[in-house]
Amino acid sequence: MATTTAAISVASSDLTGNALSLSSTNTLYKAGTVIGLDQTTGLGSKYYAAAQSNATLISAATYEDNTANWVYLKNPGSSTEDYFTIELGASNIVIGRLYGGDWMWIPYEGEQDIDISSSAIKMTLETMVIYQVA
Amino acid sequence: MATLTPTLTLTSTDITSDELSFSVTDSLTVSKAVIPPSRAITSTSDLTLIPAATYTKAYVYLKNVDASIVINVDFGTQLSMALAPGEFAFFPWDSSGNIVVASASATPYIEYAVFEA
Repeated sequence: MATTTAAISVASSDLTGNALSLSSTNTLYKAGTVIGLDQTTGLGSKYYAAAQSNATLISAATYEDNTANWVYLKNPGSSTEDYFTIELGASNIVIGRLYGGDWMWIPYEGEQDIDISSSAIKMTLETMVIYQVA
Repeated sequence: MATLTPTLTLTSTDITSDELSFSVTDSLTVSKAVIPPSRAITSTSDLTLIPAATYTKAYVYLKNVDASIVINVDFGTQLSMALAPGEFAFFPWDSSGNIVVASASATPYIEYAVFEA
């Protein structure tokens, strides 16, 4: 059994009159258990020479339904104009956009594909999935 | 206009033979509405936690603060995420659909914050 810990902090000194400092930590477990997740794709990088439209990034077929998996995505570019759109499922429900430097960390049940569209050519997306095998 | 700095750190000594020690941060501009860290009580019925009509692009933090109950998160009507006890998520949200939550059982609390770009 592996033990993987995710920690986040969100801070701002000028968002409100009082400084914001939010933090949270949790251990990544298999669904409904306290057994640690022990599978990972590792941190990968994918280069898209052409602009993409609803391209499958993470295929649900690779993962078991109703499992506890975690997805990290980052646009490592520096552009404030070019972005990836992150979409969920066959109807491509939009979660949000990753502009240069933006990242997201979300749980993933393995039931729907995660698709991406990109706003420009020659863009790179970093990915990592930490997942379970029943 | 304010600056928001989120940082994610992933660590494990045994998920691979090489130690995982990973950290990423960002510098985000927030210039509109802010919901500071807040709590809402959920139930097995859908609760529109963050209505799309109220926001444009925003950054969203969610955490299930319950000790034993899963909270499901939908974008619109699409079941999208299941937050187990203690788990959190942070993501950019384009506000094209409501963020809707419902518990697997009982009435656990969810913690959330919204930072509109």
